[in-house]
Amino acid sequence: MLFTSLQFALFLPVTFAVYWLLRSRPRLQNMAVLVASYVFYGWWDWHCLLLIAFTSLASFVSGMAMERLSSQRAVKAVMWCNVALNLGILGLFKYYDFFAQQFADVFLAGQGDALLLHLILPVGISFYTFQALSYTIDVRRGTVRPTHDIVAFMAYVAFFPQLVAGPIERATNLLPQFERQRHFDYALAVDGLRQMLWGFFKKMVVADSCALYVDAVFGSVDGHNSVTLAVAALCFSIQIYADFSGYSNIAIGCAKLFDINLRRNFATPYFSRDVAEFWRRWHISLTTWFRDYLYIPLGGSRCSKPRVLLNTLIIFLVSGFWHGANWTFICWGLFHAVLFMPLIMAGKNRRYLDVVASRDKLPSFRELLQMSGTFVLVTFGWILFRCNSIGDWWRFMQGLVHGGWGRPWEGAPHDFLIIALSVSVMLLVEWLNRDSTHEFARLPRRRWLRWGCYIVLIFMILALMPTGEMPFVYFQF
Amino acid sequence: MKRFVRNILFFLLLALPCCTLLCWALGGTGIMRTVSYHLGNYGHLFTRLQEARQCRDVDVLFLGSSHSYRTFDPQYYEQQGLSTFNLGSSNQTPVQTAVLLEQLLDTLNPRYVVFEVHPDIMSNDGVEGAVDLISNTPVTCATWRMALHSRSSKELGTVLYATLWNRIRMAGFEEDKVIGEVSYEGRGFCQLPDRCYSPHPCVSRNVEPLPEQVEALRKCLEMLDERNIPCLLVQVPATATLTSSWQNYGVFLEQMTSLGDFVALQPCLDDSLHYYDEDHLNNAGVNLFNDYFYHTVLEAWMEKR
Repeated sequence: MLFTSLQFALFLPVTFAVYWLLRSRPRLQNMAVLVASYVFYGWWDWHCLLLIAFTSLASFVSGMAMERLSSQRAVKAVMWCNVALNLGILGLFKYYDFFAQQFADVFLAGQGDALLLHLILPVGISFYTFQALSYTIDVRRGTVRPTHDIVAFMAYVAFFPQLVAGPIERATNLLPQFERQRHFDYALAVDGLRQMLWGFFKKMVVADSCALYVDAVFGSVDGHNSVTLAVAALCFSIQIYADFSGYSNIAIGCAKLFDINLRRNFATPYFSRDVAEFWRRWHISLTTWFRDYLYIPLGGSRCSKPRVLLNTLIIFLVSGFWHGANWTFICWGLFHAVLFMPLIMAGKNRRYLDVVASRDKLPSFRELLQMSGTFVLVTFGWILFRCNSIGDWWRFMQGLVHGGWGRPWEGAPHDFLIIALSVSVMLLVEWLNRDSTHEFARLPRRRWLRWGCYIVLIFMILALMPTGEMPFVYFQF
Repeated sequence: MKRFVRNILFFLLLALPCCTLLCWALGGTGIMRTVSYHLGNYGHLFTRLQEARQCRDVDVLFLGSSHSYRTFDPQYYEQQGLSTFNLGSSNQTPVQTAVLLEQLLDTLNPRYVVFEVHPDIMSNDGVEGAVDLISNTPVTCATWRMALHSRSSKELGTVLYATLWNRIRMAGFEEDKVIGEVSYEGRGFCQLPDRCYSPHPCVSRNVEPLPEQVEALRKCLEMLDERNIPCLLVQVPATATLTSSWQNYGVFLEQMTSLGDFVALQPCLDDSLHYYDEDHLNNAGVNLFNDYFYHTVLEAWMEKR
């Protein structure tokens, strides 16, 4: 079920009503969340429910087993078994065909069709697998105690707002929230609705408007002039941010309606002054997941410089590969590693830990240049991310360099105006909220002004959303 | 919780009229993507419907898309002693035809119906046809039902705007007889300028009929059946280049045959002589086709039924 569908508009109030009718019985509330989450997920393909149920059960049983075992060796073995099982499932569905194809290309001269399985990639498999993995590893580390409540655990893995595209939650944060009594918090619920509204605006107006143009240009990269290709790359940069952070806003806001706090996933990343800052602000839940479960176990920053660089390279390559079984994603990871490593070598990767222009209304000229430079570099990376193959990317880059001048906009002028208007609104609001808890947290105090803002946003969504169903970009991962 | 629900309801009560007001004010400016309101369009639906409301007891009623209203020429059938009316419109799918039949079938009261079906139209979501219909006809419950059923934001936005504006905009409106290159010739028929098509390869596409279109077609046939009006499903000719680009064409033919009397006509027409574009006949093609259709199919079928 898509957040932007009419089904969800009916599903959410019903789930909300049932959930709060059961407010004195947390176990039943968890059951309601679990049923709702499975309905939400099964709407795409009910067969995938078997997989998520299996992943949840396997991790739950592993947790229980680790608690009962006294030998540390045995506990470690159980953890590794569970990690192998989860990664095995993920590998089978997401990466098997990629590796089989590479093998066939190298050893069978491309004649390896019989090796391919052509399995359907279950929506959100990378997200919930990582969530289940974090529980098992945290139990082994002793940072979370194994739960005995299977319903709470399954609700933790399948919690519908963040099930298909994150934020990737940790058991330390989300599981205790399912184990405690929840109370309806008016301020939290209102803030949640506000955050959802902002997410819907970003997704349905900004991202989907950009998508119309991006899909047309990236769909066939040949024959476009340099300016058109540059505008398409710029539009994709905006699209992927508005789409993914919009989804996160909706997910986090939706969870607040159920008195559940999810982790922040984006913190205005395009206002970053260097790539290191960008990665502290972009897809935070995935970045910190890799930091805690891969980078630090590899030695993190507390080892020799060459080792730190190697660890960084590994993290970025794995992060790229996590996005999909394609060389473009691996190269995208490599590209960011190359941008990141000089900052580590110069010891400047933790230079910008605060918010840009935190004491001023506007950035200084230097900050503006830094932000623009970072945005351009990140946009170059997104070209790799968006192209279907390295061959497409190469043709795109050739077109960008040799395509010559021409009309910058190949779409309808009306579409350009909508993108310009909506992106301006988004940038302005997010700049004003760059140090808030989320991008639409700070609004006028007077109710009529605040409600006026809501009505304008709702009207913009209703009036400017493109027609036709447009799924979220990150669903494919 | 009470405060939350009360404030939500209060906000909705305020937001609904505000959004409606904004839609009323801005819907006609072209700014809104979800409103596509065009009163008086190149398909001449407004004039056609005005004329249809005055027309009674026709012998043959033609239904379908632009392939119908640009192909079946009522003047030709008049020469054969048949009174006809062409109730096709641009991109009109069976979903819109069902709405039109609900509004006009009793008025037109035809003895026979020729229902033009086209692979591209049967596999079309029908939004373009729907917004044309909504813009050019008074909004009724059937129009709202169609828009709600489609779940298309464009149809819903347009029907809301049309509900607010149609009465005012339609009062005293007169559509031009010639819009672009298309001229309205009366009794629903539109004529294209005399021009020949230069054949070029068409992009291959899937033309498997959409379930909602098949369902709507069934509904139309049932409506006609209840009134004992025989109906002939007809696929009008298309260029060879277009026909060869249709994937799953067999599924289309099979499905149409299963629904009732069906003919897919491919008389000896030349792509570069008898077509205006890849799937519309030019005037020479229209004349040849109507003659062929009347003498080889329609006459015999009417006699049989």
